[in-house]
Amino acid sequence: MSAFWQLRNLFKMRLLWLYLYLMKAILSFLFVLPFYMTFNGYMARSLFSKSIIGSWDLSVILELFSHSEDFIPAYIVMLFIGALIFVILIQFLNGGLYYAVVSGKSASIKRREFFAECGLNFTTHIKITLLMVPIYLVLIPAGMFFVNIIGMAGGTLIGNGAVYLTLFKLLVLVLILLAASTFSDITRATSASFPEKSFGDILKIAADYFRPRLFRLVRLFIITWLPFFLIWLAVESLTLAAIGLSLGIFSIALEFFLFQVSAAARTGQKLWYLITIGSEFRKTNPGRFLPEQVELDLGSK
Amino acid sequence: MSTIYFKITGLFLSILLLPYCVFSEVDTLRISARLDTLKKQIVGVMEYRLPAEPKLTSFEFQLYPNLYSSENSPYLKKKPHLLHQFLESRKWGGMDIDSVLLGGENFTQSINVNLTRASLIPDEKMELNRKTVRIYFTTYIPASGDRLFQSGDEYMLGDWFPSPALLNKDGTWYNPAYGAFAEPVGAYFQYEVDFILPNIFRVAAPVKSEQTTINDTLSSRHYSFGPAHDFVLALSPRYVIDSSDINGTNVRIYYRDYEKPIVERIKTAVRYTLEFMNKNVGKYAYDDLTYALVNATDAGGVEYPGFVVLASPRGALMATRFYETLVVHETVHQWFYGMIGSDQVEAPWMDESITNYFMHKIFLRYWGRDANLLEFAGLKFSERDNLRALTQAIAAPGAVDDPTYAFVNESDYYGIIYFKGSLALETFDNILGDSLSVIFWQLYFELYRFKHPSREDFINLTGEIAGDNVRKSLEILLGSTDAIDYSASNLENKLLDSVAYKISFQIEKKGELPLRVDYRVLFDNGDSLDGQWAPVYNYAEIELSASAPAKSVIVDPKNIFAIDGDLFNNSISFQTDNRPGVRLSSGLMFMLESFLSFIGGM
Repeated sequence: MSAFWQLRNLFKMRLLWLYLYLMKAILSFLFVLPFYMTFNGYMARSLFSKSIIGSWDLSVILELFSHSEDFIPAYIVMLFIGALIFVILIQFLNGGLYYAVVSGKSASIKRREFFAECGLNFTTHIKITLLMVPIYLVLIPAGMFFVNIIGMAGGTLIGNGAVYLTLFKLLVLVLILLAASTFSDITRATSASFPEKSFGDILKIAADYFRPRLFRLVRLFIITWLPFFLIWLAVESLTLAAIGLSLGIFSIALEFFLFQVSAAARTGQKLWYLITIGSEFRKTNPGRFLPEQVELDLGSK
Repeated sequence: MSTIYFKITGLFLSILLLPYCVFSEVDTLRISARLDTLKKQIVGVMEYRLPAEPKLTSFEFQLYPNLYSSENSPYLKKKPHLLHQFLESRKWGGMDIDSVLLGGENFTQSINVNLTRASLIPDEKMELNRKTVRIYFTTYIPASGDRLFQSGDEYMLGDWFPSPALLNKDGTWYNPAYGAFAEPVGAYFQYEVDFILPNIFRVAAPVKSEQTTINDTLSSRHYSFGPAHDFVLALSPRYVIDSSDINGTNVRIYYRDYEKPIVERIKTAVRYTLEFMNKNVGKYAYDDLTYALVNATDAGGVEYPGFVVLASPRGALMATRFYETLVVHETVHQWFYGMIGSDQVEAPWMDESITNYFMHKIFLRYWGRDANLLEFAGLKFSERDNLRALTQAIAAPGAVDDPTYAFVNESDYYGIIYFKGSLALETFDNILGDSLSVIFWQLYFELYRFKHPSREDFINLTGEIAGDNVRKSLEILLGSTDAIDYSASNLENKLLDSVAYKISFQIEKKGELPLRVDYRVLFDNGDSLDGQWAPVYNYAEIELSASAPAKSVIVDPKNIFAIDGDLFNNSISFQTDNRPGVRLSSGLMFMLESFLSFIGGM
């Protein structure tokens, strides 16, 4: 229930939510521009491309890509560099973000204070990312190995049975990665509470907090993720309906709007989750957010 | 046109006479063999009688299992996946010739063996014709393979016996050297096979057997099958048999219990294929058609006369119709490979390209055009999209009629022969048109049933039926490495007076096809105008007057030239329409946002 209680704070932080979503959307838009500028000229005067208005017709997409042998590799390199920039940018913002959610000042935090914390903890967040990358790189093949053992047990399944087994394997793999991701979040929350501690001490405090609460943290993530998942499902079916209306550019605009609703919901989901675990973390490890102790004068003479 | 009708009438008359002049009685090939499951060997004898003519000075036969005998095999060298499996298991296959008797005399010492090619050149004075050949052999069954292998207690036994080479008209033998992509070539025989094996097995074969129990553990089976150019068996203790009558053919599917969910889908694909091929090409020749699901390690499916090997789809989601493409493809091979033989070493297009094209026709006929492989959440994908994409992605510059040994890797071979070849044959068939197409394929079937037509036979028949221009086009489609592309550009509308517009546009072609091409002009008022361009040069400017301005021009509006390398430039619109680009970019942007959320957590 505590997660739902924190929805209040999510709406208090709606400006931050909006900015985070806009950052993602603007960056994606910038990535899409060269794609549009390269291919629109090719598609705009051809009747062959028309079917893409009514469906994701792979014949058009594949035909397009097969004539872009030079563009696609260059575009992938550009996306890789862009993704790297985004990850670095997020590590910068994490400083202010975790400060906001762990301090409990969600709504009242000032811009100057936010960015000061961004700068203060930037190197710590980069270190956490550098630590997590090899952990993910080990966990992904290890998780694959584990789920493949499950797969061997049901290796003769065909059709629906194989679909359910694949979904189950995917779920197990996601849960393994989610556990690692949750540890990363707790470590970042620790760095917000104890910025003066060494990196080793931060990891130790985070691990001490994380170990007994692993299942609870994963459960919290799933609770906050489910509403987003439902929104995403609704968006997927609504976009199909929107395109099915065959209203030309209006259908496309409506579909674009629905896509952005889903993208914004995903940002909101993560923010909601961080507010929830930030609040819980502060109760156990208030660190620099411990209220000042005041000596009460009770009139003893 | 009357000349064509005259020729067609003449060809029909010749079909009526075919039973009296084309089919000769095939020879009988007898095999007696025993499977030793402990040693993973087959020991047996193959016997047949050399023909009365032409005059023979030598005798040659093929030892196909030797392709699995070592890492130096030319067959394995370009199949890295299969070679890797052999190197892991170290369980190679092969075939030993224990002895060869010719007319009762032992000639074992005179046999020359060069991997798969065995030859015997006896004394010049020795009369070979009508002599009975007996070859005693031992076949070692490898642990990996695509045609001959054992997997646990299951056996896939393809090309497991010595097979006579093909006899040329001049008395010499055609005994090909098999490279990586070559499939076995054999002459047509009536097979009489006796096979002894443990009782535990259920045996999939092209025909039903007469079974004799030898003792508690062994039984003998006799198979009588033909005319055919190969004979295959698949064994498993766990086979369950689904037997049904489909279009007058006894279709048996051998599957393991866990494969039951796929059986109905296989039967549907078989039903469609038999119906289409019986109607449009020729009647399936045998009473039975057998399908065996095996744990294949390399090939998705392998065709044999009267028999189709399918890789087990275990673990597959089956969300698309890709498995149906496999079933249809291998079933069509019963016509183009099985009943109409061809040289699969020198002209692989004559079975693979034609088969893939007929698979496309069958998909189009029974599963529609737009999304016959997949339709999910607004995503549409068809078998033809798959063909075009694979052609563009992996086909190196190469000609469809290149021999197998012209290809240096698997992707080029499949890209050219399976995918580009299919589009070339589709173009050829479109050029023929609906009525001539049916006549062509039915006649091709009747003329060459149980024979091995050559490339020239195919091309000559084209010339006979459709004339020299189509024949020349076919030669270009098969032999040219140049890209073929038709395009329209520079559409302009000029107002001449208050009621008339001058419309001009350019049409261009790449490639040397000597054929007229259709174009269609679409007007603003909803009218359309069809025209034809007879190319003298590679491009032309076309002008016309009309009462309304032109909205678009499409060259080759019916997509006759399926092999056209770029479908975007086949049409040009007067006004730009940014909606396709905007929608695609919108979808891509959402994908990128989801990706950034995944890696950045936001």
